[in-house]
Amino acid sequence: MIKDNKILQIEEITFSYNRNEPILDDFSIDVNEGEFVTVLGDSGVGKTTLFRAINGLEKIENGYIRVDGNLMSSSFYHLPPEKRPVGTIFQDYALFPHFNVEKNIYYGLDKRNFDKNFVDEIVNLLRVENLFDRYIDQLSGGQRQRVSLARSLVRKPKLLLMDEPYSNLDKNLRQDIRRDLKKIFSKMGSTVLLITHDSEEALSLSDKIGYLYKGKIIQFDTPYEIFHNPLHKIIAKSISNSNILEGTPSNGKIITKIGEFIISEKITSSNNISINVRPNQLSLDHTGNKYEIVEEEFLEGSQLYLVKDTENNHIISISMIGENDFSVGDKVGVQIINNNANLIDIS
Amino acid sequence: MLIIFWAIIFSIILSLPIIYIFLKITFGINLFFDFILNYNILKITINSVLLVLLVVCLATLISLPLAFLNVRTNLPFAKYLISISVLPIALPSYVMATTQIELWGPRGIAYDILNKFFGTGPLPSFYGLSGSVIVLTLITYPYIYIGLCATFRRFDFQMIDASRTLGASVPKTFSKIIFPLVMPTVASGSLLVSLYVLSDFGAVALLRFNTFTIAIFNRMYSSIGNYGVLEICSIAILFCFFILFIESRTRSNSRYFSNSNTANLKILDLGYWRWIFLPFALIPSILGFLLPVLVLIYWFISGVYFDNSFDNLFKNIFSDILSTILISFVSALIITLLATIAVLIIRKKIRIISFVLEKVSYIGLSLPGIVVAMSLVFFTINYIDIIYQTFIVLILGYLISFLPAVITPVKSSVSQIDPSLEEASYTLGKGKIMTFYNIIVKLSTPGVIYGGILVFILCLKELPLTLILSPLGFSTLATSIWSSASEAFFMDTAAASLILILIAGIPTYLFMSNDLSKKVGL
Repeated sequence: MIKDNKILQIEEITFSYNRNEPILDDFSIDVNEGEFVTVLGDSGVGKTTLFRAINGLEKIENGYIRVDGNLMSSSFYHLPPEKRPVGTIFQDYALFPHFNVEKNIYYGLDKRNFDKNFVDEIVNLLRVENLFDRYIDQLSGGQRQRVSLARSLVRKPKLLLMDEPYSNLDKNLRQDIRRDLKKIFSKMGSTVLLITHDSEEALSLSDKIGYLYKGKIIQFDTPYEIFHNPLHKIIAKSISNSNILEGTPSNGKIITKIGEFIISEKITSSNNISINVRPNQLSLDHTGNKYEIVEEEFLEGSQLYLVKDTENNHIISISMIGENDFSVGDKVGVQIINNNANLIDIS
Repeated sequence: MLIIFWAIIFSIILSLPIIYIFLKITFGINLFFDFILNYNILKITINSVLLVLLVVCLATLISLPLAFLNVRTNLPFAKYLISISVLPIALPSYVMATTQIELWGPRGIAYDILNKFFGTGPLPSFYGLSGSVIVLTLITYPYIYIGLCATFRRFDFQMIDASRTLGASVPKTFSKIIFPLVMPTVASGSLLVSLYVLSDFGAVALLRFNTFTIAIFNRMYSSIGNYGVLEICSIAILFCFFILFIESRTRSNSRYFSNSNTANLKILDLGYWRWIFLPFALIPSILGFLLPVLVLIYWFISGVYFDNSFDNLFKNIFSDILSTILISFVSALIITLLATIAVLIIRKKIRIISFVLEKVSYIGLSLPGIVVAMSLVFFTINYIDIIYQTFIVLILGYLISFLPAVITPVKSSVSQIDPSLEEASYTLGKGKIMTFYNIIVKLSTPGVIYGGILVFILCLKELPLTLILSPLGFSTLATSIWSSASEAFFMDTAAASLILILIAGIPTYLFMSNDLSKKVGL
């Protein structure tokens, strides 16, 4: 038995519904004890399949999944879901509509042998004891989520697995609950694997983020690194609405159509490369007329402009804070505010 | 004012049988107790209860796996099987009984085959309880099956996933999650089955099993002079009320809706097992539809062969077809129209009027057809002799008995109409009439059509009401089949039975295979 501080070890697993198109393709990830890890990715990249493979609802074809050092799944072995030390929070919580809250929470416990004090502690921590007599249709979205979490946590799972658990909540509630849960998880030292398409959620909650694309993790890093130094175009686009600019290396700088940028990576070749420039690294001015504003949107406290390069029709996004007098149709110039960029793999 | 007057008159008409029977009983309450404590009545009661229980259990055992296999697995031809499995419902019980007697009777077709190949002796008697259970189960299991198909279609597999990830074993998941979630559907289907069995006259009469309906019929036409008819009717009504009460208790305690927006509605892959399950999924429709139809075809061909002519087989059949279609169509039209008006009044929520109207609309559920017929016979003979044995009484009987069947889908369609749609129509400049036409009429049409088709089929097949309330000399396919079958001239029933099944079977199949069933929320 392998035993270290790794709670979840997934090594090169493969899963496919149709042999020609694997959903998970040599997928690997490790989650350490007490860590909050998020697997982030768009719809259809295999997130739900991964979730179902870890909790045992799907059998994998190759590789292995271990939880707390014990083998859960491999090509020749499959531990049924009911025997796995994995707590699961489903997207819609999957609370049983014909049971009240109390019965939902006690459902997974062995009635003759369970830690009553621990259950009381969880119930208090999640503030669900005053909901015990209610049925699921009498609960708000936030209450449902707390009940679902209590139902899983009372079983003392080694790993808590969550599938887009905030997607059905409105934005304000989502932020409140996120903060709440972060405190609860850190207090309990829970090991959590969150599966989501929401980058904001992933960045605000996680210790580490794995970006899932076409069945593989293409970057596994801290939220800071994922945001500031995305390694792939797809990550840059989805996380920070970034611009991918093509440029030529020259004297340690990258020359692009907008201007010069500096990257931390050493470039030896003189071939064109792609770099990631976030919208807030650029700004508009009235001095030039090479660009035309085609769209304008007020987004999370700043003004986001999409401008078109009139020579080649390339679109660049630029975000600016504070009032300004730019509007759609204006001919404008683009200035670089911050020239630090990072290298991007556009393949 | 006109609406209130209409509602009051309509309610009184619908409650006529029940008021009449209970007033008569109350005036002779001592006689009533003397009568019901007698040994024969006890025996009839036990027979009826036993028959109901066995049919409900067997129908549930057939419907549960069948609906699941057809709706939520990749069973081959499942798309067609969903509709085919409902077809036994198109057979009138007396046709099912005659054909099953021919198949499984002591010297029936099964005996002939077994005897020929294995030299076995006569089969055990098919008459009595066992035959009645088999015949009525085959005919009524679709009532549970249809509801279960709808439930399984919406059943969220995420509930099963959640249960298993919470450490529950497969048996625990079945007993605590799956069964309670489908239980309300089984209960409401069982209610229909129970009421059908309690009301059935044709099958139990041909299979010589003494139940309430047989006792009522025999006493009505026996030499004793109607003694005890109303008393047995009232016991039958009490049993129906009891069944309705149990079903309403099950329903009020249940919460079986899905609160999920991302319900897991996947189809279970059975692998190679799908080919092994296929024959099992086919058994109910083979036994309940294919074999009876083949028997009828065999009788039909034999009839032509022996008689060497079509004359005897088709004797009077064309006038019977015409009269059956005409009376069923007119009745369906009148009943559907009245039901729609009633639903619209109920929807208006005019205090006590809407409440009473809603309750009395379902009165037919608690009244077996033969009870409605008897009470109308007594009532018209005693008070309105002029309409006795006219089409008015016949249609009135159909109305009281079949109104619940049509009012349920109409109400379901109308209640699904979001009130904000009407408001939206008003704000878009449409007046009351145009809004009513564009919103209420158009959106409730699928439910009204379904209700109309359902009541048309029910009128086609109905035996006791037609037999007792029809004007003298008026014959339908149902009554002509009955007159031959009750004399054991089964072969003479072939042509009429086949036509009846064809007329009832086509809309049944089309309804189940069409998305109309989904539109009315079934």
